[in-house]
Amino acid sequence: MSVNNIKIGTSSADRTGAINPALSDLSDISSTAPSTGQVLSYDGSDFEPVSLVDSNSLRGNSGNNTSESNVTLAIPNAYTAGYKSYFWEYAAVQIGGVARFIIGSNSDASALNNVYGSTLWTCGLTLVTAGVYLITAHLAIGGLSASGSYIDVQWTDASYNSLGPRCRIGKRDERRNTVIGVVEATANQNIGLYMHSLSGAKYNQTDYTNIFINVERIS
Amino acid sequence: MSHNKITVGGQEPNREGAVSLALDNLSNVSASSPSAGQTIAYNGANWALGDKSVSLAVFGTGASQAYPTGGSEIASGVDLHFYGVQYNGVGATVGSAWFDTFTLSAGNYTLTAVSGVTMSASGGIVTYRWYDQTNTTLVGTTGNVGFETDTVGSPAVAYLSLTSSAVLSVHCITASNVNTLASQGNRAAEYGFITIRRLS
Repeated sequence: MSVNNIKIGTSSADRTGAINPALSDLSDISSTAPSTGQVLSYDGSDFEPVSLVDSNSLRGNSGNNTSESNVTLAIPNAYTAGYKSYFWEYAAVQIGGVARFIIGSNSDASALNNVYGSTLWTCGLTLVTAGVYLITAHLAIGGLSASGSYIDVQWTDASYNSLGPRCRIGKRDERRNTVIGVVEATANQNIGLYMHSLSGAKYNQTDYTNIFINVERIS
Repeated sequence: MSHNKITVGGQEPNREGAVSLALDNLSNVSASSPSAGQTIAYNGANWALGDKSVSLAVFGTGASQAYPTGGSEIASGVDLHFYGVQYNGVGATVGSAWFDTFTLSAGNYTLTAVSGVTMSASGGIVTYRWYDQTNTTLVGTTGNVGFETDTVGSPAVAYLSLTSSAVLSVHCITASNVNTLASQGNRAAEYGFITIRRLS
């Protein structure tokens, strides 16, 4: 056998005897096609292309003002059914067909909404891409809530499995806390803010400049 | 020249002439014993194994668990307890339930702690900081927690550059009108948390 019969992976020698193997010709490289910007990570048996870690996506920020709501939140939410009845509706995406809460565009996540005709209230997130996410939310209850009102919430999945600690959230002009959660998400997994308890908290349907939700994909 | 004289990256062809070449066989790659999740990156001279550029841990599951009653009452110099591991992507050595210390390997980290210990009276407050027990050093900013549950959220934040593994804790700095261990209740487990980011 001559040198021209030698192969590395699928690459053979040319007529000069030169072999120009690609990375995919190596024995421990996954056959998965890479995308731009991906790096090689060991999965326990092969090196495979994975997306760069620490990708950030802003999910929501300021919206258009409308009148404050005088409706008090309830546990469970009487306006919806199923697992979402225990997820806090923390902002109105749309009221009477008019957009209110601006949702950032990102392929990793989308808003999980309750639909009431032409009005949409958001109550969580759908994590479109499988991966590990850190969710950080700065939220507030409605402005017509009495001073000292609050809601205690915790990020959970649709089966109410914990994704992090609880957090007490009050009015936007009172003490502000951050609710965090981390989820090893499967594709299209829904998560939300499980309502543990509340006192005098009303729906927040205005001044969404005080709402910020960051969805950060760690891996 | 026979093909039997040829080796590629130390690998000989089989009798069909096929050479099975792995990443570690390349001359400028050092990847002989990878662990799951490790990536390969250029270190200035070679391609070598390394951890992901950013890793994360979140301790604190929100579970309803009463504060442990063993050990010293909460006072200056006492380590505060936290409950549960939500996600440990930094490889910390930590207990699965209540813990007051954990161990990190060498590396650069940012740490955040929020305690939920409870007070016996309005106006009570506990302040706390990160403590490197191995190097007996307090690090970072001071967090605090008071009587009302909406006071849980003022964090102690620190940056640590560890040249070797270290045992870390969240040290009580001052305490006034703090509940006894037996009267602490569930708040520390339900609302307290720690986040760790490994930067390199």
